[in-house]
Amino acid sequence: MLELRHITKRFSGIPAVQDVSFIARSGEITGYLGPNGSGKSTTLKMITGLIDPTDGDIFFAGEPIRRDRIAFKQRLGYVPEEPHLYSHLTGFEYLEMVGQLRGLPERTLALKIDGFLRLLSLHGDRYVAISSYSKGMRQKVLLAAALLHNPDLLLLDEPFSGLDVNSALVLRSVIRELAVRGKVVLFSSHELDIVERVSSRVIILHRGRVVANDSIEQLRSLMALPTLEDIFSQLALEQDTEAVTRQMIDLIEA
Amino acid sequence: MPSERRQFALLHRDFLFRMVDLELLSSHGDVQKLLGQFGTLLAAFSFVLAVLIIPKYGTSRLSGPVLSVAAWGDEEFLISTTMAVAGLFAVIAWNTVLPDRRDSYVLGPLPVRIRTIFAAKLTAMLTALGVTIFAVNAFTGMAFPWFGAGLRAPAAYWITMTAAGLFVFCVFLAVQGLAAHLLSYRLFLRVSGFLQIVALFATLSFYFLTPPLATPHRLAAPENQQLLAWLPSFWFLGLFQQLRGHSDSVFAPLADRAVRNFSLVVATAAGTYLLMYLRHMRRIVEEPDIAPADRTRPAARFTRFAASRIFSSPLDRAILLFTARTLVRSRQHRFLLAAYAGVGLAIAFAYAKSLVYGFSRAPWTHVTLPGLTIGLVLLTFGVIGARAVFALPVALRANWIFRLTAIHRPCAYLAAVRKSLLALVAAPVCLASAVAYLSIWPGGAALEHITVLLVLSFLLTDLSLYRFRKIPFACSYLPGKANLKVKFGVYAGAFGAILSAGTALEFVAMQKLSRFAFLLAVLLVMAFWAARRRAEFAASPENSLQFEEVPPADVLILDLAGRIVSPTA
Repeated sequence: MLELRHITKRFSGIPAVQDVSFIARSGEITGYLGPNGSGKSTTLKMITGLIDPTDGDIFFAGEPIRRDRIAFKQRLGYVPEEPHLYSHLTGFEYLEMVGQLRGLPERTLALKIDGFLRLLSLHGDRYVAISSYSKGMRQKVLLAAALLHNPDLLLLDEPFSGLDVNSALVLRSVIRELAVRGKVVLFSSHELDIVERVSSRVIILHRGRVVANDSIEQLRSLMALPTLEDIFSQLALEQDTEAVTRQMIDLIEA
Repeated sequence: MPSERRQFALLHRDFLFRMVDLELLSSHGDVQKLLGQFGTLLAAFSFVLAVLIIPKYGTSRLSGPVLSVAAWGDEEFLISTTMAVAGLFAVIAWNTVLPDRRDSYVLGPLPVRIRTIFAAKLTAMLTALGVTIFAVNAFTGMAFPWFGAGLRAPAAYWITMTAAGLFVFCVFLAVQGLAAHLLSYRLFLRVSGFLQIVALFATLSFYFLTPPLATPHRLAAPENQQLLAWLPSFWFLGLFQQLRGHSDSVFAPLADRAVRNFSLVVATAAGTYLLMYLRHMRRIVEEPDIAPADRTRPAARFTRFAASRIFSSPLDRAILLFTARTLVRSRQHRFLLAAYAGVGLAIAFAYAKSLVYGFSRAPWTHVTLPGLTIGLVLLTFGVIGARAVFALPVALRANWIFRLTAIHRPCAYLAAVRKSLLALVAAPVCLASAVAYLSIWPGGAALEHITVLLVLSFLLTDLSLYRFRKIPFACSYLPGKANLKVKFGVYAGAFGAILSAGTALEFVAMQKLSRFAFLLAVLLVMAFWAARRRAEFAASPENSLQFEEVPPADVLILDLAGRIVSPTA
């Protein structure tokens, strides 16, 4: 179980995340939603330890993660929002490096890399530099790197970004299956229909604060709205979409 | 349609400030300040040369014609200096002289004619080259030609220097242009980086290894004619003498050669450069940027095999392979390491010159001070260069993976970095030195010096990595932190003193076994002390890996001083 208690992050005094608390349970897929700049990626980076919270605590399996960060990182798999990779390495070399850094035995690592590359249709390009990869191929490398060591906690920040239909379907099934096997899965996405299909629970963030934290069914019935998109629009959208569209067209034609 | 002249002016300015590859130097560098510093540095160099060379002509009691002949050596030196500086400029600007993918993507969709881009790039190149040639001759060019020569001399001087600089620049441009035409774009990208390093070493080799032949006797000697045909600085010395009206017959063939080769090189460079724009602007977009790394290549297979055999720990292998692959594939890092090696090589060449041309009393097959120095200089610059290059990041935003996978203690990473430096730099230098020394020196002496080099490689590695808390290429870099402007002179002086004292001590020690044993014992103690000091620092509990050069401040400083506007203002 992953638990965030009163997490706050300020950048130069400006709050990006304010007093965020929630629990993501084993066996559940928790969707983490919010408009651009609402603090989703910042929250995920705090969980990974890439940035430190200004206030609050994060617990995994009942232990504060700062007590033993190394032990926590061994159980963590993370797919970041931006596919920042060492693009002078090939896909194979990148995965090899990640596996070695995680201390995986050579033979196991070789088997896993080969398997992931085949299943993700990257085997033919395994010796091609990542700089030549498309966005979807880079995303697949990130996914493979996050799953190599069989993590207990999966943090996925826009994991479907750039993936083709086939790969997205496979990933969706894999996420579901991993949750069934007891993993904690927290995933952030702008694609509300996917979140609706995959997640059992959603957390909606607006201006750094949690504005909803419940199962999708519960939110639907509480707000009397038929879809997650409607719920999201009501809770987190500030702009009148039609008005903005009209203004933009006027500006283009001016 | 926007004005073509306006487009040209905008592009010319942009290309001019991009002549020096800024990615190579710093991420937040002020371009204009940087170029200003570059020009000032060259002018200061010219001032030093002027102070060293010119006074002796002002105070000389030699007659005009004799003085004129005595000046040949200095004239050739100034020409070769200009050529070397133009060559180094070409090497630094190597990646910006040809249209690249970025130019194609950004300018391709815009309503800008290719001829406008071409003209802007060409004039930017020539402007930058002109400034470089002027700066390096700023003081020598104002004063030197007036001694012992007529009014034609200053014009001859500047024409010669411009032609010599342009010649070298065009040689490298032509090489690039030909490679780009003969190879596919992907292969050209791969080869281009190596050509750049070859150009660097060629420039330094010509500058430091050109024999001193600028005397009437040596220039006229039949046995030197074949050599002179390959030494461009002497062709342009001939051109200079012809232009200023000197009638000595030795200069006519050299001047002819200068004019002929200059024309050929400039024509080739101009032709290939023009074709490049016509053909390649579109091809660049169509072809992938980076060539695939072919796993079947023996070098790649060998590296992996060697890493798996030498290092049993997966972490050591990860750091070693990442370091090796970055050094081989990152143009910036490879070039900077080559620049350090080039400086080391230049110093080594300077020591080697007396041995190569036989001016030294001792033959090169005997143990000599210059011979001892060469190995030490190359090892020192290799290790220092690698340590400096390790501190420069590659794809900084990708370093999150090292943070996320930091599941070992920091000392384990730092030990892996030490092993990588030893394996990738110290070991190859020692191995190459061993082959060289064993093939030219008597076995016993060669083994003694190789042993010293081995111990020194550990000592230098541990000294250079003391307080180094980074994974190579994975930490941000703050330019100017080392304050090299102040420290450079101190470091250079200290290095020179230690080098000359050290080699003298080694030379004396090698005469007697007991002395050598004592020297070796002292070096071993020093190496052990340095290793222990580094390991203790790495293992200290408060130590952590460094990924940011400047950590985020605990207290936010508003820095309002001096920005408060008076209400009465």
